[in-house]
Amino acid sequence: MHIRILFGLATLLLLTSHSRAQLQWDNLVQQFQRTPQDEGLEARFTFRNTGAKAVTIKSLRASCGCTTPRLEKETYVPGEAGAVVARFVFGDRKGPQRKTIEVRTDDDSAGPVLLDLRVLIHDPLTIQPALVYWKRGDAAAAKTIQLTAEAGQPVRIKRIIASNPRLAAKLETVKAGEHYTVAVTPTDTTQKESGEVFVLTDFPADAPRTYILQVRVK
Amino acid sequence: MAGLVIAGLRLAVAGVFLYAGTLKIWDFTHLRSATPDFTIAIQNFRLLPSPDLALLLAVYLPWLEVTAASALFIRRLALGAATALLGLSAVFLGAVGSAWWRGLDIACGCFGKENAPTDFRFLLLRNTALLAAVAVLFLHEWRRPSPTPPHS
Amino acid sequence: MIARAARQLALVLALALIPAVVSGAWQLAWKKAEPLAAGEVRLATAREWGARVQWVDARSRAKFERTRIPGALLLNEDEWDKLVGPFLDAWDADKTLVVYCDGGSCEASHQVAARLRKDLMIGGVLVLKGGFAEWQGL
Repeated sequence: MHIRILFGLATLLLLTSHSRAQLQWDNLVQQFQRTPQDEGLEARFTFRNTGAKAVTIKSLRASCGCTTPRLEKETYVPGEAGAVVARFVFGDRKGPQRKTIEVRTDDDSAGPVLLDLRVLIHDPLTIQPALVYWKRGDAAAAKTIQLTAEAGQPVRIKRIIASNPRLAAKLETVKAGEHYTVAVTPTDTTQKESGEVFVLTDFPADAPRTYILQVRVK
Repeated sequence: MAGLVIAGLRLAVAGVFLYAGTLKIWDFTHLRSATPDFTIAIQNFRLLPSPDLALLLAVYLPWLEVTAASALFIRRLALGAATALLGLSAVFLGAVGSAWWRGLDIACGCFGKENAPTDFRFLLLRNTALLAAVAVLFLHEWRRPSPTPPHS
Repeated sequence: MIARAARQLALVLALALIPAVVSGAWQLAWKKAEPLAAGEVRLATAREWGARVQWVDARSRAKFERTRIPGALLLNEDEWDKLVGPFLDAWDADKTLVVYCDGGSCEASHQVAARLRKDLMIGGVLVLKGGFAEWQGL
């Protein structure tokens, strides 16, 4: 009788203890710095099957539609190496970004693994705010937008173009390459208006960027 | 003498499980349900395929600990209670052992939310001692004659 | 003896189930009443506001075109520069913007809301708790 109990106990222990996680990942977190002009990047998350059994990757799920994970094949025999390649398309994203990919395998002993892709999409020019607006009937007073370049990375503003003549824009240089202001004044605020101010810069030298300021009378 | 040892063991084991179960049900420091913390603790062991299962276990397991610990004192339920506690301690020992083996750096979650760093050797020792104590109780209940003679 | 152990074990397991079910039902209520993070709004609240809400869809264009909350405007970070102009033309400055994405753990709504607040300095931007899944009643 006791033997049977001991046997049951042993089975229970066997069921609850597991072998070491079988896919060994080299870098679960990867960090990059890029500029908006790069438009995207590919990160390789490499791994090796260090277990004694073949492992099949069942699913890859990205936290963002902008990130597409790719896998050369699904099943890896012991000792075999492979990689999940994550393609992150920036779109119009800026600043610090964190995208994750959840990897599930048929080796259920060690829950899903989270691959962590961190990218700083670095834009040296800060625009504050990128929108000025008046409500109809407001005083037609000027509103000012600040454009600040990051220290050590001068961005020169060559000129600005206002798309709507009833929304006049005036560029002022506070400190060349570092700090500019754009003052926008509506002719009046009696009717709805919509316009954009294009800010032409010299950065980067090979493909100078144009920034867009939004102006509205609502 | 043996009776005294069994009574002491019964009190100790019941006390440990009542204490552990209660702390997993209610967080007395923050006066709120401890289920979210216990759910996370269970998930950290990475033994379950889905977080929903972890939530179900986080709700049920503490009540099982409390119920089984109380039932140890009811003659007609003591054997069942000892069986349940034997299973629970074995599962806990297995979970902690496998976490240690897999090199996970996680909190045990044994007594609600803990902040101290995990010392796996101590945990394994503690769980083994608990398992041994429960096993003695179990064998005692197993050998004990049925409270009501079976109908023939 | 095994039969007696099994019978008693089943009884103990079942007894434990009673408080667990009660507590589980309460936990479910707790899950629903999960506190809102800063800048989030519940669907019920946004529905009460009715026409004072402008829905903002932070999902992809493909998903937006398939199905959306009626009256929602598309604004996501994939095509921010292209979408922000038309979005601001349609925008009513007197309405509260409520941004949503798929639901669950999606981050897009929080990011779009942060950008509306910080870059465009529009006040009163909220994120729909539970996202589009909540709207669909999933």
